Amino acid sequence: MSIPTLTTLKADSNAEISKLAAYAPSVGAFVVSFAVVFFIVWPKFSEVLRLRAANSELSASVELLAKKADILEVYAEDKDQLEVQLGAADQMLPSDKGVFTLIAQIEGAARSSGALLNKLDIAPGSVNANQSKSAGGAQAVVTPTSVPPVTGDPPTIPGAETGVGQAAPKVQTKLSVTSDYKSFLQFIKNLLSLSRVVEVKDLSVAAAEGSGQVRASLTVEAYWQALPRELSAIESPVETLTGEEEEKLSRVTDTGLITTPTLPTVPLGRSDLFAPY
Amino acid sequence: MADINLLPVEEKAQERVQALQKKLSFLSIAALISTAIFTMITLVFFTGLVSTRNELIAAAGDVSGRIERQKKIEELLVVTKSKAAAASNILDARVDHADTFQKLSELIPQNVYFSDMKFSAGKLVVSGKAKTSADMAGLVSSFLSEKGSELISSVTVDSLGSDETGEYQFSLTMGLVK
Repeated sequence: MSIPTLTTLKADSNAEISKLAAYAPSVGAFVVSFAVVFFIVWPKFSEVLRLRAANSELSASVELLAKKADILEVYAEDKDQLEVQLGAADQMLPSDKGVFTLIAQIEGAARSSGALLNKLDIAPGSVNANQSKSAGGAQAVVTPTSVPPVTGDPPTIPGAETGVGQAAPKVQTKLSVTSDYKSFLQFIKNLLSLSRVVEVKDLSVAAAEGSGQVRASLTVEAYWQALPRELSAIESPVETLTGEEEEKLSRVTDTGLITTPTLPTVPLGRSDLFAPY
Repeated sequence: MADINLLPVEEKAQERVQALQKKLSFLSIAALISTAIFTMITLVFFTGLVSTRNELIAAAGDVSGRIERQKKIEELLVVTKSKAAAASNILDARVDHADTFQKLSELIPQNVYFSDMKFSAGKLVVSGKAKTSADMAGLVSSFLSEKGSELISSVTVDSLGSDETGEYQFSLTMGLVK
């Protein structure tokens, strides 16, 4: 006897659906797990890694800032000392070219040593502050008595040369002096002892036959450094003065040369611009 | 009889399906639990790190305030340090000509004198006269001695000659020790 086919098929399909329905919760659980991991956990985990790196950087940055704040607070306790050191540093490297102060210092060094300053050539260019080049501009020649240079080399006003202090610009001055040997040595010592940082270059010394005198020509390079226009960012670290730097500043302090040498005032006004004095 | 023989096969298939269902259920529950644990851990870490970041931002703000209050001191220090460092470098590297002359005066024999000296680019060119050849030799050996080598690194005799008086005129080029 044969069973009706339709009933058999219906029964079979019901069985299949029941079988699949039994798997549904498991499959649904897998799908939910995958969705949670993909849409929630994975992005949050990436954010956790990013936050960790950012926190590490921020922590290092805070530590550096704290160190900087500590250093500044230590210096704030002795602000007067820092101001004195600034005055000394400004003597060593003035904030502008200080051309006429330099000339006054050189003349003072010659006068106190007994050397006769024959000739002084300087071409500083612009005398405004914050000019870093020393070449250019019209020559300003100060010649009490014109004496030709000692050596056969023609006098030249070189351009901005790179010297030892490449970070600090300089003003070059060519000098010619006549004196006895002892006064010449004293003049050199006086120059190197100026509160302003100078270098003696291209020194030539020749004996004047029979007179016991020497004639010298030299180039004095006087350094200066303009004040910065603005401070660096707050994150940039501050450096403290080293022992060697403080010792050099104290040498200027001890000689009492903190105040800027003053130039004498002169009367102004004349009716004829071309009449000699 | 054929129908009775089929029953054990169907039963076996049914058993296999049930076993598979159990495994799948077990695995799905494990997946759900793992996901929940991992999600909790991630959220806890995230919350902790956010809290740490907020604290660091607050600390950075405090420290920035401290630095802002010392702005004037920072300006003084930056300028002083910049000038002092540059000045110190220049002073350490510059040639002390007064010291050079002092050392030369200790090295030169008594019967030798200079008529001309020129310092340029780490070299010293001198011209002068020596009373006798022995004095000339003494000058050169003095420059080459241990004391001389503190000042002079090399000696080149550019010219040397005597005149009718027996005096020696010389021209030397010397390298100076930095």
